[in-house]
Amino acid sequence: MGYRRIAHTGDTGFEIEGQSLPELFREAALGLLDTITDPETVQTSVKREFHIEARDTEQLLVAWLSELLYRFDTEDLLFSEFSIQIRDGTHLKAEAKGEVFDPKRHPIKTEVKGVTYHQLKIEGGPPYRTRVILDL
Amino acid sequence: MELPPVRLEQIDPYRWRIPKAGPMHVDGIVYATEKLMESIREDQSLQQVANVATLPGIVKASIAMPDIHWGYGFPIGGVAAFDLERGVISPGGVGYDINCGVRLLRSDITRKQAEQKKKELVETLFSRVPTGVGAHRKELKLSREEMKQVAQKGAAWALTKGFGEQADIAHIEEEGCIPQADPDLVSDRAYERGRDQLGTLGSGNHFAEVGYVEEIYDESIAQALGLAPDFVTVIIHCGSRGFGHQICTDYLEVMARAAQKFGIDLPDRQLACAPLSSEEGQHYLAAMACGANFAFCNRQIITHYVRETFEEVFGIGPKEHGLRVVYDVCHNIAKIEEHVVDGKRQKVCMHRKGATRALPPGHPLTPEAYKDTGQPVLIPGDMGRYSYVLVGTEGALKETFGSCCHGAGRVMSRHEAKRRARGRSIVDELKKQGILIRADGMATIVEEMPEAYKDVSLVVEAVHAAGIGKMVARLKPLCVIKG
Repeated sequence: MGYRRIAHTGDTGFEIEGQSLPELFREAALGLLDTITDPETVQTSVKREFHIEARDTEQLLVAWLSELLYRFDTEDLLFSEFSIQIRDGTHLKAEAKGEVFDPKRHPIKTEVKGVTYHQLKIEGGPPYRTRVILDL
Repeated sequence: MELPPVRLEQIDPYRWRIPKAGPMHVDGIVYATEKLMESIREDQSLQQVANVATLPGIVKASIAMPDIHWGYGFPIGGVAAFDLERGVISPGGVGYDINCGVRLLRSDITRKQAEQKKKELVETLFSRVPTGVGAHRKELKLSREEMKQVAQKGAAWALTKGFGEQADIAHIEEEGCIPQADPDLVSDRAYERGRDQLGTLGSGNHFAEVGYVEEIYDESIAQALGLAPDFVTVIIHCGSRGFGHQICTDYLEVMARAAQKFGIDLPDRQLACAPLSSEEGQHYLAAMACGANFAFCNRQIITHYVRETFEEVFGIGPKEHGLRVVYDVCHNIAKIEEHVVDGKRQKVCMHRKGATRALPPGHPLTPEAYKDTGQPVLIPGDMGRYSYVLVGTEGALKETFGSCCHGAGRVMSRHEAKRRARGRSIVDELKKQGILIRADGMATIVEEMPEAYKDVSLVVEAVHAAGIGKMVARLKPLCVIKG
């Protein structure tokens, strides 16, 4: 299980796997975090809730990661712990714990511009697998 | 939609054709030397050129520059024009970083003067120009109303706030403002993301670089551009930050629905688009213009910080450093332009993703100062080697809707770059070559190291030989700041 970074010339991506959709979405979120900073350095002093709806599960995944990216860009928030529920593959409810980005403690890796649909196709189930490519 | 396997025919040493086949409406035309084509064939970019040719209303050809590599839907280094009535507009043909672009400043400071103050230059530049992940500048926190003004007015807004000079404006593509911008078509989310990011460089391959003119290929054109050997130049490479990225993200969703609604069959979901004549299409154009204007404004503000840096480091006033804008170009953009197609003047919607406008001498949109030379085209290379200045040509206008390449393109993934850099200090290696680097994160320096990139001179020589750009000067870096 988990996520595995894949080499991509221009940007970055990872392959993720989960025994359930919530687990897949959690691994995706950790993959995103791992792109921005070192996940081990992110403590859990802040809690946020998320409610997201989409047309299909792929769009839900992109919307979920885009939401996390948005929170980082606007509130400097990084999340490392997740409790996720997914209904019908199109509704997500999640509670995420993390903290505010601190350049002194969180090593800067890369800035992410957006989450793409490139090669994103959720297969299997269980285990569920997909690739996610991020635009850097 | 299925396409047959891509066939490639060589037309001449610098031009290749992907013949129209299956659902393609037009040929693909790729500008490249044989050597460049070897690496181009290795990724899916040629397939993407062919995919773009299937889009409704595409005019003449799906064009690719010598620096082409694969991207999302559209390849990077791709140029495509669409008929206003029958054609589509696609955010994937612009990119996430709307109006990522390059600005070049020339100066009256000599290389020798800069060498003597190199360390102060890089440190001061780094402290004055915000870079890096999460970079924001506290003084420039904008209200929603101010952000809407930025989205509407672009570089002119920066001027009203005291950033830069009036003379800068004429030397910016579109004079630093695309007029069709509609700030009400941009989401709250985009405004939130962009609010603290105006006047910041960002990260990744964005940079500000002090360098000098190392070689001149055309003396009279160089002179008209204000470039002379051994005089200092500054390159600023950045885009619309979170503001533009969010606009792209938002409209990709709109277009995904629109493509279905209008029954547009796509070979790749990421080519999601809507008819230009549709509400969705018009809305994207107007929102994209807001992103573009943010980027123009961004580069205008950073120019001001650069001028302040020189004034501080050299202890001189603005008249003495002579830092003037040579030109500022977009390389991720969609615009309505007028071109001659099959002998008739026609308005088209140009998509340039990782490609630069390159207008010839005498063209109405070529700035007054460059009417005799052609529009300057700025091609940044990697941080260890060189960058180039070209001008647009009649050849470009005739063949590529007045378009040229934009840069080098990566050859190595970030992961591979990290692997290759193990045990090495890239900073020290560059220092030995006389180049000082300051970045927010070591990771960026490693990922952006010179060997991770193609040699931009190969790309530039190819466009020059093909006649779609004319080489004017080569610039060499002295100090570089990165995010």
